Amino acid sequence: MRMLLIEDNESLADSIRVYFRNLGHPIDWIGSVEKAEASLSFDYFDLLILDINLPGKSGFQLLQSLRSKGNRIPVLVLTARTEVDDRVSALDFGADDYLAKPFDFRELAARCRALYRRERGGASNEIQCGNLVYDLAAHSAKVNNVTLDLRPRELQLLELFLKNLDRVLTKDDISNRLYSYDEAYTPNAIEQTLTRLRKQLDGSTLIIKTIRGLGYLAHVDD
Amino acid sequence: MSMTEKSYSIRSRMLGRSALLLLSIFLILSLGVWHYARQSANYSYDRLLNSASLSIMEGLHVYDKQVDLDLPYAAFEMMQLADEDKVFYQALGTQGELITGYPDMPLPNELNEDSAIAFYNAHYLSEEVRVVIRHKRLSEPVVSGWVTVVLAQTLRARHKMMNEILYRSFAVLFGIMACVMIVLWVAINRALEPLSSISKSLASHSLLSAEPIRPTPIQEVSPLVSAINDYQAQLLSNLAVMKRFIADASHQIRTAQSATQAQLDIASQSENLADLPEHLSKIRQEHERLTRLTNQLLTHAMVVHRGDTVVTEQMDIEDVMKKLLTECVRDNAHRMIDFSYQCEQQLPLFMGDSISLREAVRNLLDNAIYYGPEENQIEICLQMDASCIDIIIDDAGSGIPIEWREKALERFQRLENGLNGSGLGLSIVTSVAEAHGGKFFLEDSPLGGLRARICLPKERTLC
Amino acid sequence: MLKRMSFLLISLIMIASKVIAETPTLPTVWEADRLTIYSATDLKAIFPVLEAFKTQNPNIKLEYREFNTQELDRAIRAKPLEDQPDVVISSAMDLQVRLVNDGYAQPVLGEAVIGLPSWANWRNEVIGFTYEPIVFVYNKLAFQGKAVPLTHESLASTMRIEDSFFAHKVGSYDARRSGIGYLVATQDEVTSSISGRLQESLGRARTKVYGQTASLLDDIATGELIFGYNLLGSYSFAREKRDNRIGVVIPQDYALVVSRAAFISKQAKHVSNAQRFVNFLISKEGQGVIAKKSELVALFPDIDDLVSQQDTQDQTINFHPIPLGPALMVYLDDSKRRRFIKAWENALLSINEDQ
Repeated sequence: MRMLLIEDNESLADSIRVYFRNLGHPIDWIGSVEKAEASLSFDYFDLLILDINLPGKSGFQLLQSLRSKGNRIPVLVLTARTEVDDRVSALDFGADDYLAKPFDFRELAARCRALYRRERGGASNEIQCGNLVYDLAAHSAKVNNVTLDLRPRELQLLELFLKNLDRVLTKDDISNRLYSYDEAYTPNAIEQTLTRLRKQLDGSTLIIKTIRGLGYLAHVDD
Repeated sequence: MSMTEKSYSIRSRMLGRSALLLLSIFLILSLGVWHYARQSANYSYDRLLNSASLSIMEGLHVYDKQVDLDLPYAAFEMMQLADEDKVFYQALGTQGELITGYPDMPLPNELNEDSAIAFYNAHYLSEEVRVVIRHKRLSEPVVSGWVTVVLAQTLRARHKMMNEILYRSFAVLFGIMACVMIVLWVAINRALEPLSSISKSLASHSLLSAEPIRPTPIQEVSPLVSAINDYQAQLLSNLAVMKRFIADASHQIRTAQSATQAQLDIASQSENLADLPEHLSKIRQEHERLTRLTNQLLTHAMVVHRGDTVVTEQMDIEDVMKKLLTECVRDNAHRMIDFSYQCEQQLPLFMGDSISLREAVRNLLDNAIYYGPEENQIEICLQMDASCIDIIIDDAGSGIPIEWREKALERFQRLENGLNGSGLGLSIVTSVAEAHGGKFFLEDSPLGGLRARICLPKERTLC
Repeated sequence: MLKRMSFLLISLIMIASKVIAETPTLPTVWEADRLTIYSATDLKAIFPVLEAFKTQNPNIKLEYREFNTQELDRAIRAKPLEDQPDVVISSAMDLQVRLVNDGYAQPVLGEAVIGLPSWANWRNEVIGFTYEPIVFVYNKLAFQGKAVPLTHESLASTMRIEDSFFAHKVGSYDARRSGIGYLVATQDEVTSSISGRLQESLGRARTKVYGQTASLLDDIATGELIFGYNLLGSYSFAREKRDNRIGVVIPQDYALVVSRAAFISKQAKHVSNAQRFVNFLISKEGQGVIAKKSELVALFPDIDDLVSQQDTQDQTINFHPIPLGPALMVYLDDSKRRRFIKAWENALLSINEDQ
């Protein structure tokens, strides 16, 4: 995962670089939008970490010009907490996620991975979430390289969650995807399927949370 | 206070309008005076003319079978009272024949025999004249019929008298007007004096000094003085609150900073590398606390600022709460917390500030997570009754004892439960609730912990 | 252009001569150097005044015509408007007042007019410029050793008592023919309560009546008459200076004062000259000339002189100037005049009808 960090605070940028290098991700650092525009035009990056408040052109301007050129590179926006409105506008301007300063580096890394996964999900046959690897072609899941014993419905459900990480899925959402019209099902059936899946996933980094009254949410805790 | 309105002086405006009013009164009175002067001049000299004509009439008598006139000297002496006026006269006999005098005197258009006397104006020998015509019936054995005396006088004395009355009246009127103007000027100045004295005392007086403006004995002005004093008192109390806030905030920030500093110092001095993780974890703890404090201070400032200035917008409370809860679940997925959401009925759109409302509820959720036990249960529950929409956050934590709840809503009042907190979170929620015209309550939760309830007024919903 | 220039010139001259409103025709401008005076005053008496005015205004050609008072009145009334003289002077104040009343005059302008006593000015249109007391004149020889009557009262009683002394020897004006005679006679009636008695006394003395002051004075000087009643002071004083046979008495109880009245004709062709002349008459210089050189008596400085002249009379004299004003017109009323003349004739002339 090759990343480009656009951040004007040198000390923060340095820390982030050290942190990601330690994790084994190559990361380039640039201090201003003007320079970033140049390197983005001839270099390829998997992910952009973009500070909004920059000297000269703002992060928004870069984001806007990227999107208007049709560049779909995933962008994670870093924003100061005071500018609460920023996160709204950041998403409006085409950012994929945001993180308010100050942040936990572990959180930053997790968000980056999530974005990368979402991006790669369509392209590759494998979805990797921490120690869980799901093979889309073979319809099999492995935790720490041990293949899980999953029934087809459980596999379907796992795939649905993996494709909708960090999003709330209602029971209706799930039943619509898992069952065809003629199949009879009960909400209980989904509960049972989920309970078995959770048991199988024990020890993996994927957590499936139940929000009563709302639905289910899958999150990779790596 | 639009800028287009030109500035003006009450004093000159009042004076100007009074002057205008006085001027119109002056004009009306002048018209009256003119009329009066004319009337009285005419009246006086008509009387003179009348007496003289009467005296001439008495000089008419029958002599030798003919009507003859013995023109009385007294009549002319009387006429000479108007000493600059010419006199014309004529006496006509019973057949209308000229007895004596000017033969071609102007007669009135219609001779009215019924009234013994008539006055009229005419033109004679290139002079404007006032004429009196008088009839008398003679009934002597030899001559009987009406005899006539016509007497005319030029108008110089009348004009003179009229002018004299006019000049005098104008002088008096003018004097009165001048006096009234002076009195008005003094009165207006006196009336405006309290205004300038207040502005003087305001100018020399700092609003931030604790001393109020001296009360005035003038009844009309005392509301202004007390309004200013109220305003000042309010400003002072706000200022005091702000001062205390800044003092508290800086105390909190500096305490956290010193703690971090201390841990850093200890860590750097420590020779035992094995101790380092422990120091680092303490530093991280202090830093987390500082971060949280900073976030809350800024949120507080933002919320207060938005409450003062931001125009409300249409918002879907359910949508905001669902998103918030999703975010919260995602961020706390690794914790053993059960989240739930409950909304029995469709809520109408609400006029409010979604950003500050979201901040408030996020604070409540954060509190529930932060202060709650490892295995907790947190529920967002939206309810609507006749008067308000309730946003309820329940938790299964230890709660706040009833006697501390009121205190917990105050800024920087941290409860002695051993956990670190800024003491700002609940006060932010209170501010937001109040900015929306609602209220914030701490209650017992059916889950066993604390129930935080934001009650938003239903009037602000769109139906 | 030339036309406009000449028009401008004419306008300027008109303004200069203060005749804008009154000027009826343009020729006035070209005759600006003339002044016509119609007067009921002996040229001899007024000549020094005219001469003084002439010296001051050498450019003005004076045209002076003398009338007797009633002729003058008739002449003015008979003349067409365009032939009116510029200034009219007469001692018959009543006739002058009536002319002014009938609109024959225009106001006299100038500051001197304001200074005139009120009785000598009516409407600023007619002004009196002399001060001529009505006096008794006597033959000094006849009255040698005899007391000259000093009051009307004493005259009436003296004539009554010394019937024969006065018989056929008293003269006065003919009220029917002399304008000044009529004025004085009627003013006597207005002013005095004893005028009836005096007239009766005059009648009993078979008073002779005259039309002219000069012939009256002549007869007194020669002794044909011994006493003249109600004579014009101006001529009498002048004669007294030249002729020591006669004496003049200013009556002490009251002395009527006639003032020669002048007005500027409304139709005057030479208004500025007329204004100048009338103003000269009442100016200091004019009054000075009247006082010192003419036979007339001036308004201002002469009253003291008059009083000092009468050094025999140490009593103050009750001067009674006849005021200019409409009251003077009363006796000009036709029926009033008929009545008065009839009464006057009855009183004065009935006894010597045989004459």
